[in-house]
Amino acid sequence: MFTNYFQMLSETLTSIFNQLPAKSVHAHCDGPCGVYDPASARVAAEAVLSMTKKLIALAPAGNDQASISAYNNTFSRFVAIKEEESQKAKKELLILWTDYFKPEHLATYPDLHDTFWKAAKLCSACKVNIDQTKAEELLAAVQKIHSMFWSSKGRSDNWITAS
Amino acid sequence: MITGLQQADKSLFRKPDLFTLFTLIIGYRQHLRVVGTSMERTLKEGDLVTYKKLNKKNIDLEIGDIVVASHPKTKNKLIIKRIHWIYQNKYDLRGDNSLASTDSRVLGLIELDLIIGKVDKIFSK
Repeated sequence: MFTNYFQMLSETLTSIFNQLPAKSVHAHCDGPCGVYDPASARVAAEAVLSMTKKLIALAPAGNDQASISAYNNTFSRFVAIKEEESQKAKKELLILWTDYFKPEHLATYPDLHDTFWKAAKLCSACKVNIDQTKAEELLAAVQKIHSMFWSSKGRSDNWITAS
Repeated sequence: MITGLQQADKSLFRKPDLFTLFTLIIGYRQHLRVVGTSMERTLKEGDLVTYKKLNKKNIDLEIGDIVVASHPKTKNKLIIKRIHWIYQNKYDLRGDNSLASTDSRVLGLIELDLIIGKVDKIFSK
């Protein structure tokens, strides 16, 4: 009984405290926390798609040792770039998702979390596989995020790709 | 989190009580509403904090204390930070969320005169 009484008292007091008019005390940065632009993710996603296409098209020039070595070298380099750019795309997307977008954006973009989650998953898929469909899906996901981002700023920047 | 700084301060009494309310009413304690995220995880946006005003009799600030101070460069603006270090009566104030905090790393050391009070209670919504 006393526990209930104290709990009620505590809740009442909490309510009173939280209705008190209060001046603000700042616990934030005075400068902008960051400059955000989905362009970084777009460039990385484009590189992933480009490397994927190159890998699919790549074949050794011949059966001699020099041709096989050249093929292995180029293949490895393309894979390394694809890996690196996929990771970069994921990082850029996660920055937008977690730092730029705020809970209030969910009201305007209810599928925001789902879009970012799927885009991040596509980055992983592109890293692990040589899959042109996944790479194209990633670029499409980045385009969707581009639209969300700029419309959240009240702008409608065109989607322009480098390739 | 700043290296060497203690983790989120759990020691502050967070349950509201009649005594705190009374001291607020009579003006012994002051209260402020937190804006921003530089003190997360200790303080979240919207938290209400109470503090005791500093005077010549009760200057007992220690490293780890959370304090309210006047912004050294902007008039009529209060900041809330944790004492990271004390150098010859000047205070190195830092936010617990170092990635999102403008503090002594930018503002420089804060003079004691600018420190208004020491936070003693935190009430989350």
